[in-house]
Amino acid sequence: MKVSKFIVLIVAICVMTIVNLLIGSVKIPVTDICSILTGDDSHEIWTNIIWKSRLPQALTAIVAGAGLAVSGLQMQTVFRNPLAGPSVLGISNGSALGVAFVVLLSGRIGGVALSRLGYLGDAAMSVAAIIGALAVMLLIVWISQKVKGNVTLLIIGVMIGYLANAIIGVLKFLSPEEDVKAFVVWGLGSFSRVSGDEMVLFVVLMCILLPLAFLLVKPMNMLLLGDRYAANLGLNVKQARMLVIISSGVLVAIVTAYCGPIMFIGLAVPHLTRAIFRTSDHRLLMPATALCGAALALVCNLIARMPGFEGALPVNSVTALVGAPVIAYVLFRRRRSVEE
Amino acid sequence: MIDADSVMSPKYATGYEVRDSAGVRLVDVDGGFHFALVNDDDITVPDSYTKVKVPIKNTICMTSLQLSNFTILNAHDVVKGLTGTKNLFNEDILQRVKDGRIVKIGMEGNFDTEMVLAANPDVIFISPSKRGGYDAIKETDITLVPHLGYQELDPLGQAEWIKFVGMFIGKEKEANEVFSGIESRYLNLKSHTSNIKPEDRPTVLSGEMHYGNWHAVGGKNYLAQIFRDAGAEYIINDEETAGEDLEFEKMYSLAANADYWRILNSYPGEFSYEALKASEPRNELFKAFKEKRVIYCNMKQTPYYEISPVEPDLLLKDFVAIFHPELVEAEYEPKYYKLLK
Repeated sequence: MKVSKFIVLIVAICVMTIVNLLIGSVKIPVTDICSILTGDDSHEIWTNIIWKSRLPQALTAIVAGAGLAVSGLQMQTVFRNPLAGPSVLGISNGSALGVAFVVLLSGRIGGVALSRLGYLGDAAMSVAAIIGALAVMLLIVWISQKVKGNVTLLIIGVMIGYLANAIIGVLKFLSPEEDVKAFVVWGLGSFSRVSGDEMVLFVVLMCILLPLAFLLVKPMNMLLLGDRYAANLGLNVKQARMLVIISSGVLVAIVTAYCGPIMFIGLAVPHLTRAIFRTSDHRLLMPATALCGAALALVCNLIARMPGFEGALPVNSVTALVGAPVIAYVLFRRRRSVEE
Repeated sequence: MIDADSVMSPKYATGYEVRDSAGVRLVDVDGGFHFALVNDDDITVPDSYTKVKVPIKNTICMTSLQLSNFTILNAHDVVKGLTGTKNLFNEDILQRVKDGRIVKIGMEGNFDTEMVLAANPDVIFISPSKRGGYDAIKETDITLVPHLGYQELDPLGQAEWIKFVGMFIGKEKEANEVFSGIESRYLNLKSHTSNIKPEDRPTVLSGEMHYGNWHAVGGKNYLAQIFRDAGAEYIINDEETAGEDLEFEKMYSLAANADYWRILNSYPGEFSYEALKASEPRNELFKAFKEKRVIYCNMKQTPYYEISPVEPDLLLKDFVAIFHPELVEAEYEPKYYKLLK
């Protein structure tokens, strides 16, 4: 039963990847795509579109979706709060702050060095986003060692998020319009920014980080029982909490760095997965969440690039527009079947 | 009285109309703004017209495009306030800001009303946008005059707003002379390119990709018009004016084989093909990149927005010198755009 669901998910991801390669804002006949995929490069433009634009985008969507979903699941477990998501600890705000410093302040503080960074564009954004996110995460980890309750930590995380937002607000206010626009565009999120070596690096990083996150399923299962129980079972709760937060934080930091802050997937996919698999066992839930996240991200990426929209739809809007009704429906149906 | 000979209805600009009625100059600006320019406060003007006594002595400019109109008319002494001085090169203006003859009133959406009042402007030239912030100024009873030069699609139309400013500051004659100079130089050069056959017109793409999207100006844009007048073909041939955000694959399929690539940015330091590739690895796929035919202007090194609106003839000449060098004297030194080495 569970195995067949996994197979369905994997098949769905494969199909969606192929559809992602087939459909885009430029019309390329299916037969040509097939010949390009088998190594024919007689039509240079189409070959480049497939290999350097559509394929990287699909791969980015897969690993980003998986990463965000897993990160969300980790947060929800650690805080035992269904509304927790990757953004809840202020980690995405931290990366936004990093980017804001580079985009909005370039050329004002630190002169040439920083403004060069600002121009170097997407690569510099990634670096700034990672630095911002990791800085906030380290702060949270440090605090998590000081405070006892999960709720306190959660509230402090939310407060850090507000603080980062406030600083971003001031920076935006002081910046010229074109810089603000650049920052807003970054904030819309996209799977299409990453290409070339950067994309390879991103995928490799995620392929290392996701399995590392899977190593934490046992402590996560124990955390689910409550701190006391977990401690009785021999778990070092503080340490486990810290490891899960670090794992989750690094995943969000990397994804945000390369794709911008992508909302919703991290919050919603764990719920969707629990509804489909009807389990709270992380040994199943973790891989299933990763697969669901990848599939949903591919669907959203496809919709954002449907002919007619042509990049006009930011991924963030699509994830919410498509994801929210689907997930509400799934949860609603599960609820009803339970009541019946 | 304003004498009838100096009437100047614009030839290319579409954003304003001028007519004389019983010794009063009536100026209608797009969007339902009406101004009656009078020399004498006692003259009555038609209802629905806002009376403005000219020549005005003090004003505030909201954009560098407006400032260019004052610069070309040698009228910096009328300018008492600016929104900011970022990327501004004009030494006279910078000196005036430094010694306080020009104040900075803050950016659109957040004007420092006290600074505005201190500048004591007769009118303020505004550039209406969604950010607003004008309500606070309206309260002060200062006349706000929309300057819509930025909406003009014809380069000469944009430059013709010199005449609009000229009327307000009492420099109509100078404005007419300056503009007809621009006009004749522009049209003269254009006449050499107008009969270039389509197959001899190189194709051009414009802009850069940022964060996954390419903001491409539309086929009816000011820039597209200059490309056409310079004897080239802009790769987007639609009815759009402002432009739209295109995905990489869309832009690439349109422009992969374009001959030239125009880029305007404020890169800190010397821009290069390496820097262009570093900002987006896929940039090297374009033919214009491979053949090193990037046409480049750096706003950090060249005064662009503050003066190019009144020098469309020079912009045009820069482009012609690149697209069809045989039409321009050999020793021509471009002012704005050069081929990136």
